[in-house]
Amino acid sequence: MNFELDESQKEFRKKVEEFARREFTEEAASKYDLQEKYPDEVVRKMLSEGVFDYSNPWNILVATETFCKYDAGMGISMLVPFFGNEVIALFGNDEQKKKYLSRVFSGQAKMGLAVTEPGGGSDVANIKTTAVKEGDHYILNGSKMFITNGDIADFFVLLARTSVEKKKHQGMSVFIVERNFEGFKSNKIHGKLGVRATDTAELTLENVKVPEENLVGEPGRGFYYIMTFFDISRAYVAAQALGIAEGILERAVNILQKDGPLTSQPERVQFTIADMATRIEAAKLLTYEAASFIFNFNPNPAVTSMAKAYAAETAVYVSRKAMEITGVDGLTSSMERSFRDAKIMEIWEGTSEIEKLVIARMLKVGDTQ
Amino acid sequence: MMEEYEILRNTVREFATKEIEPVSKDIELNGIQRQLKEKIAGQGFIGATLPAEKGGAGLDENGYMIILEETAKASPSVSTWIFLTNLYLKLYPDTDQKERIMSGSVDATVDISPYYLRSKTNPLTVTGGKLTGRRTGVINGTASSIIVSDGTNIYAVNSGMHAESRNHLGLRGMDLSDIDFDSSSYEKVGSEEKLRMELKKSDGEIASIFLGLADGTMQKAIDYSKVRTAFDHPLKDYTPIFDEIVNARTQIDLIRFYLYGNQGEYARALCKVKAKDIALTASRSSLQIHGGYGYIHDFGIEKYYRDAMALAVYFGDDSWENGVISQTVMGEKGGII
Repeated sequence: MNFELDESQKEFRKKVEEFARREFTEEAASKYDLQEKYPDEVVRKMLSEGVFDYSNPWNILVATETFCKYDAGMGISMLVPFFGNEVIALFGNDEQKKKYLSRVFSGQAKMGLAVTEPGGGSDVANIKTTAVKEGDHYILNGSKMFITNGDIADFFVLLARTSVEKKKHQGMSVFIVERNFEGFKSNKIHGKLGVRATDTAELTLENVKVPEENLVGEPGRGFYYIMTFFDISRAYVAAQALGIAEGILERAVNILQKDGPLTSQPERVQFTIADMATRIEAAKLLTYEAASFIFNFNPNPAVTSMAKAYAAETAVYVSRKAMEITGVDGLTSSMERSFRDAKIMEIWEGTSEIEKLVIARMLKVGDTQ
Repeated sequence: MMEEYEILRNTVREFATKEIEPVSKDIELNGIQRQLKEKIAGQGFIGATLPAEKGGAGLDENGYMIILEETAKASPSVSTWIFLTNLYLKLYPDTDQKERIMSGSVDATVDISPYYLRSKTNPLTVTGGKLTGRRTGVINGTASSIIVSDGTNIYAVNSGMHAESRNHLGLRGMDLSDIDFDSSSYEKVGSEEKLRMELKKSDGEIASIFLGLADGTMQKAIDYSKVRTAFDHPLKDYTPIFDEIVNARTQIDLIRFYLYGNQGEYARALCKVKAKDIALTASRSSLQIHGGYGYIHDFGIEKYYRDAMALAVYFGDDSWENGVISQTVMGEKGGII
């Protein structure tokens, strides 16, 4: 067992840190937050400087954590252009990978994942969007809600119902839907509490004609593809939450240290800092453990959900405790933004409630009586 | 008497539902509307505790807490605005701006930042007919008249204030400003001790703001849990959500029962500490129960989450309350190192 990243990963983290320190200034982060603007120019800069390396999933995890430590809104924006790519990578055919994924990885296109609907987030099997086969294409109708990149992505990996089966989670399929397909519309959602640099929109599909070759994998298997995807992406969301929590702890300690060493604070405050740091360390171990299972092609969904739920809870816990111990100094600092960002972690990519259901369902125990 | 409180509660609730709730989202974006302030004043909520001969409504503390609690349910910003305006009038009931303040046509506030800022603020200096200095993080700092303390006395300053607003997490119905004072138009209102004592006596009022916030957001979660379904059942039928809602609501009801039924420093201090806790817990639960919708402005839920945290920072220093509680629990001082 080794609890350290290897040398090349540490080097990579340094590179990411340097970029974030330089680009995620308070001025920039607060501007994108206030204006609810996607930081496209910063993403382009990152791509042109070659900061990013998609070949190694550990690097994506490390970058996610590190970026979010500096600013979650901008940080997530850096990595979100290829959100959902694993669905095509795992279940798509070579044509689809060549046509869509290569453009995303070269920075020429952005993609998104469209699952949630106005009437159902947690209950994925209850989605109402339909896809009806007609000749060599499908006709899609319905709407999607809270879709990340919804207003900026060039195409989406989208879940729709293709047949009515006895079991609800059967009969769903995944399609690649391009923004420029006729009948596709997006409507940006304004006024998110946090992660306001990220783009979120509602999508509507009105008789959208999707060619048959844009069906991903087999028809009727969509629900399982998406669940497999979540078992991967939740590790990255755990890393987002972990980064947010780490950033808040550093900020809080630095505010307090302006008054002298931490040990001069009342023990109540020292205990709070100790609790925050302990939870962050536990969240980090869970996150890295979940990632390690996934990256070794041996995913453990219970551990992945534990990592996501626990890291999210930690981010929210840390954001609140930090405010309590730093008072107005924290309230009027960049911690205010992190406080707002943290709460989404308990909601997106499976609410904490859903994670707990997955943990209970997937838990493996021995036969101790 | 109980019946009178019930009538008052229903009246304030009806007012909040009819006049505050419909504009509550706009309050978050653009501040409390002047027109609403005038309507609030028209209800007698400003100067609520002043005796009739001073032009007030002559309410006792319970009556006043009912006003703060019921308005906080719809908008914690509005409730806190009422609290600060009344704090000003309690300290300075004979101000010549009284009529304008009590009609809601101008704002008056009290700078309580020295009691919540961790970092030491530069003291204001009053010499040679001039009041000068700088204050950071003043709630409603763009008000026409502000009561400030120089550490010894408190003054009502009426002009010569340059306020700059900053972004802030909660209570966005009012600005949070940094103010440069360079004023020759001010009046001495009393000693700093007077303000300090008044704030110490405000525990019940602050508790009622926290309590209203908690109940307001929890009621929305209850309503939503009945209509939103997941996996073919309304949310309220799932045990974890049921437990969370019931736990919050029963705590709220217990605190309310205790708050209105008990006078005295210990009871007030206890209620303030407990009401703050439940406001933080309930605002988080309610947002979570609303899911993605809770996270966006349009649903009017996220503001409670921001406001609970901001209020907990502004009024969250429990050192005074802990001192009071310690006297009852320990019979002497405790928890002081």
